[in-house]
Amino acid sequence: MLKIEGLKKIYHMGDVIVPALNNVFLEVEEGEMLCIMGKSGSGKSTLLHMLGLIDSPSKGKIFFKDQDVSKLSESRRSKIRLSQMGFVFQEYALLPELTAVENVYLPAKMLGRWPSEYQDRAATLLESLGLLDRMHHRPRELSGGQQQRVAIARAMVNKPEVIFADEPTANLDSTSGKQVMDALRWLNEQFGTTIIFVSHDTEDKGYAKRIIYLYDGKLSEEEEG
Amino acid sequence: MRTIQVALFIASRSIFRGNFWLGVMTILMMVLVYLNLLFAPSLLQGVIFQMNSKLRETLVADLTVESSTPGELIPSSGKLVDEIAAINGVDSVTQSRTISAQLQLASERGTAEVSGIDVESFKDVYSIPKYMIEGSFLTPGDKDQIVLGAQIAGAGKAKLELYSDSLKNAHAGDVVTVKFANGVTKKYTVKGIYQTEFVQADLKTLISSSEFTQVSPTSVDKANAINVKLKPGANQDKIDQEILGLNPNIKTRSWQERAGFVQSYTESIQVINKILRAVALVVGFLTIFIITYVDVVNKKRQIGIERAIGISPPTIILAYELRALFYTFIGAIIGAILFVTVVVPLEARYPFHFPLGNVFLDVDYAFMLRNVFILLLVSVASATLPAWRAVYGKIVEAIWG
Ligand SMILES: Nc1ncnc2c1ncn2[C@@H]1O[C@H](COP(=O)(O)OP(=O)(O)OP(=O)(O)O)[C@@H](O)[C@H]1O
Ligand SMILES: [Mg+2]
Repeated sequence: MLKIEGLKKIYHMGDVIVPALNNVFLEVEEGEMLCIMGKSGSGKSTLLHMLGLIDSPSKGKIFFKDQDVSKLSESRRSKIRLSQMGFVFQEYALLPELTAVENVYLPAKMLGRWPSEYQDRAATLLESLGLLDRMHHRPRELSGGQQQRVAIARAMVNKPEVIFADEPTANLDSTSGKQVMDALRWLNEQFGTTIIFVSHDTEDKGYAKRIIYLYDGKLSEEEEG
Repeated sequence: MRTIQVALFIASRSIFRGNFWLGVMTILMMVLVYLNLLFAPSLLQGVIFQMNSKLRETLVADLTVESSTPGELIPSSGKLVDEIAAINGVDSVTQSRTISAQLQLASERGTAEVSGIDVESFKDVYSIPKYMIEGSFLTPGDKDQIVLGAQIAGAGKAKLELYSDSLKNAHAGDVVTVKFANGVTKKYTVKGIYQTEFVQADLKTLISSSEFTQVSPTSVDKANAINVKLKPGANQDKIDQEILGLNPNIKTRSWQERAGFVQSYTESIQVINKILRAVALVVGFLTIFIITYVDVVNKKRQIGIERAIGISPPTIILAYELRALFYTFIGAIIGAILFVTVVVPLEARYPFHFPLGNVFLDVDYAFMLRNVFILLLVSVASATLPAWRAVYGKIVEAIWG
């Protein structure tokens, strides 16, 4: 479903060149629950952004459902992100002026769905994530774990084929972290949604069907010593 | 369509759930900007209006009829006055003869035009009799009586523009010696003094037409000028043509043509007007610009996330534009209501005193509406700039600051 070939990403910070990813090959099957692990600065977020079409590679190719998407225009990529991908970020990723349910259905509204359709779906999603009574709360009235579950519901609202989560549990205590990971696993098992998540946490490893490791921008299927 | 819906959704949430006081202050700023945009032009418009109406009601009326040969009098003027008065749309007509003269009171001398007027019709055409500050106006057939404009009488008012050239201390009841240009010299009792505050009008002196024919017997049934006042809404050009058709030896001048000397003031006023409006618009632009800019900077990460999840840049920009439009629109509406219900009545109660008298704010609804649109355009532009810059940056950088 997702495939990258010879991916390279170089950041330019003024005159300094920062290599973030170097010659990465990866294939992700449909229905996978993949965990990307690695030290801080190893390129995990960068890789996730490439896969999620948020940023484009310096070199190499990305295929999404057998289509080469590495050279698409930003507006085309934006459409793919909206309709076929979901994102969960580390923190503060909800829009503060919208209620939980409004945050959830915003992408559906953007996709042009009918209010009757997306309002129900948003409510159902929040309900299944245990947030029914928090639907009309603003993000600042929610705990970190609750916010993160709202973000998961938002990522799900357009029935994406793949969800990207960048350290979704990093700022949570272990109980909330577990709830968030349970939610992701539930999506994976219930709807067959492909999940690709980044984590530092060894506890999260248990949720993955496959784990890959990044070392200084290079990929390995095995954990280093 | 979808873009508009989502932008409306985001904008309305950010207006009604965002910082309340920031919203209130923004609207307040726009109220002030809008009032600024209206106030000076309305005041200056009031000044122009005042100048024009003073000119008409004290000096030139709507149309001035003269002999087409310079220096000649209009013959059989009485008949012509009646014919003009019969034209549809004419309110009133009066004729006058003029001669220049030197006036003397004790050791003070002054030069002035003395006009012989038909008192009754003069009162219909001009409002000078309403501006008496001493004594009373002429009555038909008054003998040996003269009415003086304040600028020639002086009347003890040392603040008058032309006081030093006046008789300085002439008052009602004084006797002045008048030396006419045709050699006749006569004593007149000052019956009254008027002050219109329009210098050109206040320089004149008036005597009755019967008195004038005593002084200048050759002027019987002749006039230097016939002045015509029109009914409101009358077609000036059409009446002008009809008058010209009555006699081949006359020419006419409209008040607009005679306003030439007022025109130069009007033009400088318009320049000031434009500068003040430009400043008001710049303030409006900067207000919205700063508010949008600060918001965009604060929400850099949020904008990055909106884009990451697939909200298109035009949607985000439009949301900012709609928000700016909302603040500006509400500000302008409140400003307009305040202007009509508070500012104008307040100014009417405590008017600004200009050299021509009290000036009132001119309320012009078309002008007010036009300014709402101008302000809306300015605010959209000023919201677009920062929003555009923020939205077309790299998503990754926006998210990670
Ligand atoms: N926008 C950027 N500009 C310049 N360098 C960047 C940028 N983003 C990331 N980098 C660099 O690229 C490398 C990989 O960064 P990345 O964020 O992918 O690491 P990470 O594995 O996600 O780290 P962490 O666990 O701390 O989130 C790092 O050296 C980082 O400093
Ligand atoms: Mg990271």
